[in-house]
Amino acid sequence: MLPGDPPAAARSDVTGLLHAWQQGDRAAFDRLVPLVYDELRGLARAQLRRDAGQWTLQATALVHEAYVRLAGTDVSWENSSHFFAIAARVMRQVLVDEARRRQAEKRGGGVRPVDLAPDLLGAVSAGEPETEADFLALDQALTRLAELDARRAEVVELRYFAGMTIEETSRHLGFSHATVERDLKLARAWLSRQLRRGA
Amino acid sequence: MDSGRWRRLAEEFDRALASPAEAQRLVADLSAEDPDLGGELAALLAEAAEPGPEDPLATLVDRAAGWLEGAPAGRIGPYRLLGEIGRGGLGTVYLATREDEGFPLQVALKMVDRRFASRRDRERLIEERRILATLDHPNIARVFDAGTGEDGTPYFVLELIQGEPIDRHCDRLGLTVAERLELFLGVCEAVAYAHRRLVIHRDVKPSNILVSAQGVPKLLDFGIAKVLEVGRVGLTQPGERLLTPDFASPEQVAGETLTTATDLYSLGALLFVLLAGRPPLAVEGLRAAEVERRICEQIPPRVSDAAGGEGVAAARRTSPARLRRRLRGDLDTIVAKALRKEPHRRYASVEQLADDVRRHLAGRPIEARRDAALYRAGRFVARHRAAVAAAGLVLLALVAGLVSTSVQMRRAQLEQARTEQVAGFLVGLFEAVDPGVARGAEPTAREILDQGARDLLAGRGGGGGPEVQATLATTIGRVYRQLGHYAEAERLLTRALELRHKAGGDPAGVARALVDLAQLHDDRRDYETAARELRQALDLQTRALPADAPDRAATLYRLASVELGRDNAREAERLLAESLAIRRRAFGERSLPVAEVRHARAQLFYQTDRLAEAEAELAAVLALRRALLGEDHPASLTVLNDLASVKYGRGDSAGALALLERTVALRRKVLGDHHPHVATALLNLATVARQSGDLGRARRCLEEALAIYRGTFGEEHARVAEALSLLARVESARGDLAKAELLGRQALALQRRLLGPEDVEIARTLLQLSAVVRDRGRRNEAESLLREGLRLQEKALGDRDPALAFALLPLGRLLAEAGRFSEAEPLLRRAVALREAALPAGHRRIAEARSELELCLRAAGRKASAPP
Repeated sequence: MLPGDPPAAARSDVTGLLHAWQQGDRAAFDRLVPLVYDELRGLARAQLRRDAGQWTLQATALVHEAYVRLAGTDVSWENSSHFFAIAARVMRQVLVDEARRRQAEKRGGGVRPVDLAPDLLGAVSAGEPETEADFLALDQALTRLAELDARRAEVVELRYFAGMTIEETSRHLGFSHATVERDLKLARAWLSRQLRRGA
Repeated sequence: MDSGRWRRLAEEFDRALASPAEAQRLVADLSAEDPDLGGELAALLAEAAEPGPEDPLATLVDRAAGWLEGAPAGRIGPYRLLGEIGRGGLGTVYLATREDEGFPLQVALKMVDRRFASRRDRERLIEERRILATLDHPNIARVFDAGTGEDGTPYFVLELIQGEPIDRHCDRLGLTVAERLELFLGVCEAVAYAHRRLVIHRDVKPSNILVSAQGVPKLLDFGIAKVLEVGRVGLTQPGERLLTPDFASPEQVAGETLTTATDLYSLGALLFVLLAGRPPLAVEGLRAAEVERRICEQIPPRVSDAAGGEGVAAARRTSPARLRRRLRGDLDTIVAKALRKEPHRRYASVEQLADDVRRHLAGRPIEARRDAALYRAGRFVARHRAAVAAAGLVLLALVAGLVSTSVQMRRAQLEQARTEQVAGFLVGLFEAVDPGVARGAEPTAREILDQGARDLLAGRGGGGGPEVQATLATTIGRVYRQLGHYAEAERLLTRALELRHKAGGDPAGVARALVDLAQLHDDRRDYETAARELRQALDLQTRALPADAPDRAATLYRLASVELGRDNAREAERLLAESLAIRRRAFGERSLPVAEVRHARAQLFYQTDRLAEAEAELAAVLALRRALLGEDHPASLTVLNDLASVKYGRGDSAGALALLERTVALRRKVLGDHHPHVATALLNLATVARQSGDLGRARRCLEEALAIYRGTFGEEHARVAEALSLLARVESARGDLAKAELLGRQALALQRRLLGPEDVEIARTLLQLSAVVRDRGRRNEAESLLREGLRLQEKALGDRDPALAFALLPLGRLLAEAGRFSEAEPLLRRAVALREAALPAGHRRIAEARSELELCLRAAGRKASAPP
């Protein structure tokens, strides 16, 4: 095998772990998380290489690509929705880590980007000043929501971090379309209010 | 808000959505009952009723995802990045300069892209850095510095080589074939040097060899290099393989086990390019499967046939016809031999390839004749069967000496040095036997051993009877054991035992053969078999020898140590007592054999927590050895060190400190400042100093110990990992978390390589590292470290061991602090239960676990329902 394909071992690993998790093996989930985490980070980097700067990246696009690479396409639908549930959790974690890292950097504790000739290293991304804090606030609010209401928090995670449609979410969770839609409305309203209140 | 009120809120919200007409009334009703909740409902309904043009949450998440894009920061550690030099699959190399101290030099700095680096990438970079640090050769780019950015990104700093790839260099300057060969020899030296350090480069190709302005070729990019494990000749390839098709060996493409022969193939391909101006096989643009097939099956053309064009010849300052003539013959043969599909049919080493190139340059006949070495080895042994048998006896005497040095060396884990010594000794022996052996084709030690083993196992043990054959089998078996080839060792030692029986079954001889086998099994930690064999030996000795025979006492002593190894302390104690009684009668109380057994007994006491007895026994042994050997004898010093451990274990830090200081001072005097035994004593001194709060001293001791270990063993050594891990603890106690983390990670990576990824020893490092990572604010990472540590502990200790609490408690605390109470609670409950089951009631560790649980429950907003 030449470079480019995901390692076959990793792929069958993921399929096996997904299966185990579906059968109720909690440990399988914990072992899936780092695989998915690495893959997401790796993909983000590969994407950058490919498109050399001018690309847009959405969390959900990444998650979908990670799925195709890691699990292949020969996995049953139940498995894939389980995968997205993990990937959503992991994606959230990746972004939380990134937000913290960026904050630390801004506080001056970390490595600071300096102005460099853009033709040398590419433009140093400025980033929206408040995004880190906002995102961390969202993460915290979501954690609080999960304590109050695990189901609605999960709906939010699946929708925003894995890009599952309402249809997919309802199938995955086994609720009606209408329920998921209502859950999402409440969660979104509540989270928006929490974020504004914090600000 | 609690979950009860939330449920209520959610119900009313859903109801209001279902029938908007009633929303107003629902809000009013709820407000009457719970004004706050009513207000909240009204606000949420308002929020849901006026969706903005875009979903603000989706926007926020997408903006955050955009972070994963970005450019590397312009500074890391004390270095400023001036520009990108190159980008490989595994990292980016920057032109950099140091910011402080007016450091004028420009250097190359390699790091992974910090935003996207996966753990795997980081580990690889650290691996490369570690490999390079062990290599110091004029043809390999030097490492100046290494470090970790404030965000944990590892990097290292290399000598900046301003040059161009070797093929371009040769063509630009129009170097002749001879000049190209000279340059190629420099590359061979670098690769051969790496191989001697057990490093396989795996990616030798023109773009990784820069020729400096001074004309010196420098091998770069050890990004996918690997260190062979000591005692193994090959390495299996990990799932993900990176390779360059023009230069990759068949075994590399096929994903098979790699040996140093893979670099030989790549060198052959490089030589092909330098001579013929094109790679040996045309694989560019082909599909992966076809590339693989060609590399594995298609025989490359002769290099003389491949070198055709005018341009190619001109760049070698010759004509096409002359170039072909120049390459025909020697160089065709040399290149073809390096490019063989089967690794074992290539040159046996890079040196041999280089020797042939040199011979060719000097106009001497080359040695590239197939399988000459083995062929000659076979013939050599056939011609000199009697000499081999005789040599076996010489061997025995020498090996006896070797065994005792190798015990010390094994303690130092210098397997490689030992292998080379043994190999060198054997080769030297046979060279002495046959002065006519041609240079470059002498059989290797291993070949002679294997040949001898084959003969012996087939019953052709030279002219001698079974007695001589048994001696030979024992000898070769021992050498195999020393080399770590346990399967072969077992076959031969078993054969020796059979031969002893055949020779008439002299009980003393049979017993000795059994003891040899037992030692092998002891080495392999097969204590059960070792114990059985020693007991058989003991039976024989009991029947055949006088009760006071020293051999019997020795077997008893050995059996005791095996029994202690399998946690059979009571039996070990009985055996030691018997051995001690015999030795007392045979040698007298004030004798070294008696001191040896008593030392073992002290270890037994120590291991079974009878510290007072251990201390008394050690004091007695120390007095004996001081009187018989002197205080500064290594054997006395070992006791001094052990005594300090026991005192420390008994809480006598001051006493331990004094003894350790004395140990360090004496070892310095006897062994010099740079001996690993000095480092070991420093390590102990540091541990005690740290516990008694003297962090500065602990740190100084550890840094010195680390320097000694690195100087002696190189980077790749369990002792280095141990020192790093201890230093990490001290730095963490001093509050330098960044440094603590770096050290902890180094220790971890080392341990994983040395012990395998699942060793329980690693759990300890993980737990320690997790505390540092947590204190640095990376809680998710701390969590996964703790979980991994817990998993390793469970795997090694089972799920009942109270030691699991050391992972469960911090994990529970971490989760509780993150508000994940429902996950934290079962972990903490489990920690409490484990400790309650294993420790006496009222133990402070139980109280500690309980209070952790209580804190969690209280924080979760529930009354502590733990039993009081």
